[in-house]
Amino acid sequence: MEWHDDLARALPRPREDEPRDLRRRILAELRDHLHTAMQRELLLTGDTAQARHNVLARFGDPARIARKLWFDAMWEKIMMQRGMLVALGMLVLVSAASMGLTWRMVVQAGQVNRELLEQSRAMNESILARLQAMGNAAPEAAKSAEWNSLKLQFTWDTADGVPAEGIVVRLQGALFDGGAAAELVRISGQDGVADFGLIRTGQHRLQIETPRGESIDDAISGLLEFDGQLVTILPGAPRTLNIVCPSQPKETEISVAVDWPEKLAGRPLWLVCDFVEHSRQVGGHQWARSGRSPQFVVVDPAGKLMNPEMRRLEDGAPSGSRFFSAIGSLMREEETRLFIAQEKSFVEGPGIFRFEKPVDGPQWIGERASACLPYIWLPRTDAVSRFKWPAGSYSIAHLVVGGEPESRDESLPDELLHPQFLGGIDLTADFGHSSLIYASADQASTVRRKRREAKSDVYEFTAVPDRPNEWRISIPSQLVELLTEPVTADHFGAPPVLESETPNDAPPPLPYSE
Amino acid sequence: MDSRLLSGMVDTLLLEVISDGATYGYEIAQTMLARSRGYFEITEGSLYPALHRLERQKYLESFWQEADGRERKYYRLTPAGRRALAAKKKEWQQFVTGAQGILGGADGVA
Repeated sequence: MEWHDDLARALPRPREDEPRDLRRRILAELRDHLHTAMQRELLLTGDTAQARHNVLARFGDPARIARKLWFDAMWEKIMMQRGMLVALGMLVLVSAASMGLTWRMVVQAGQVNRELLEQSRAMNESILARLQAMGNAAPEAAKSAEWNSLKLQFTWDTADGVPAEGIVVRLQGALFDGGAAAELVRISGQDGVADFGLIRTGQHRLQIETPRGESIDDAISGLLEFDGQLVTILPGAPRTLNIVCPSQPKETEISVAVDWPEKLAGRPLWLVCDFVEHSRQVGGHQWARSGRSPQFVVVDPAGKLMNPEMRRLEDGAPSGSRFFSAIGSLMREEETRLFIAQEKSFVEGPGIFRFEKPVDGPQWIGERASACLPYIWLPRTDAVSRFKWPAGSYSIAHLVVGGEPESRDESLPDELLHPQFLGGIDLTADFGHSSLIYASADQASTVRRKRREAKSDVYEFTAVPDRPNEWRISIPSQLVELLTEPVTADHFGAPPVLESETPNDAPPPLPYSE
Repeated sequence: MDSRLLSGMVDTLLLEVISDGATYGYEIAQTMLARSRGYFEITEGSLYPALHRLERQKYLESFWQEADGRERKYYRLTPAGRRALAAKKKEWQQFVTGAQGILGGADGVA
């Protein structure tokens, strides 16, 4: 019979999870039933077609029954598989939904974060703006505290002049908490401003110096507060000072000549003098140069003019501890004498010097001045017809006259000239007096007996810019008298005879030899 | 007869037929036809899904045996099948008694 083949084709396609002999046993059971029924019908009818017809009429559709049996047997597994598929599908859907939800949350979180960042940025900008506003208002806020701003605005020559750059400002005083003295230094910039920020209230010292070395030289509040001024910072009062500074003056040409008096005519004399620059009145303040070397002028016996670099007699700040370690002036009766202590008898540069001869035993004040006479060393320089100095006012500080030496000391270097010191005058002394500089104590005693008072002459000159300046120097009358006094034989170079030591006729050793 | 009445009784009838001893599908169909005197002339193929269901319910167990040169599947009751058959027969007796009381009483009154 071909029923088996039809039934086999009626079943669904085999599945992997199908029991190994399921369909075979379904087909075998149904085949047995149909075969048994067919045999019985053949016995009854004798006709195969009729028998088959009867069998199928009572049995029903074998293929449908076979499929139903197979499905019933596989129902659990199919449903389980479908359940798993459904569950997997649901899981996929849930996962997809979760991912979608997560993505949406991420997107929303990103939007929220951007909004938060934007709000934070706006808040930060607001805070910065407020802080900046508070910073700008700091001087105002400082009114309630003990801090105030101090700012200095510098201009050249006039209040509406060009901003002064390079002005060095030193502020000294109790600038900070604790009250300890402190110093702040500022240098004005291109805008001419030196800003000290906030400092404590009080009275502070202000030192101002231009690039040329000029400082304010005012006397303040009755105190001799030279080279500076006081600035007062009051509570709640920020200060801005406008200060007019002197600019660099133009250089101008100067020539110098000496009017020798008749009493000295015919003598081979040297004139050595030093000039100091006057302070200037600018912007309501006196401005003076401090710590600068004077300008030297030398005129030789032939009238040759020189402008050498030298050191002066009473310079209080010589080049080093080797020279002039003790220098000062003492009042003795109506005169001021200069005393210079000598530590080493060596001079490294040209100038006018007085050295102290070492003295054994007791000595009274003033003795040292007569120990040695001053010495003059001049550099051997070319003559000039005129020289250039900054325009302004100058005064002669010292005026020294020298004579030709009787013989040249061969131990001197060739580049040095050594005029014999004859006498000098210090025109910077106070109390309206000048001070004569004697060549020896004997000479000082002689002159003092004759003239007990020496009035100071004024030796001031003005260097006018943009035109030649011809200065003529006359010799002060008291110096002329000193130079025309009769001198003793041991005047030059002979040490005084002191009561405590044995007289010595030999001249003292020259100071440039060790 | 109304097929709905028969469908509710198929399981009980099958268990009762198989309770006499191991038997197979064609024989079960012929037994039911003979015992009902041709009244239960059911479609034979529809017995097999019922037999397989009772087997999955552990009321029947089966085994294969060769007959006339072919494999034949035999069914027999399990102890659970016997308890189920007893319960179903009791329930049927109560149903018949109840129904008889109603239907017989109605005839008597009339």
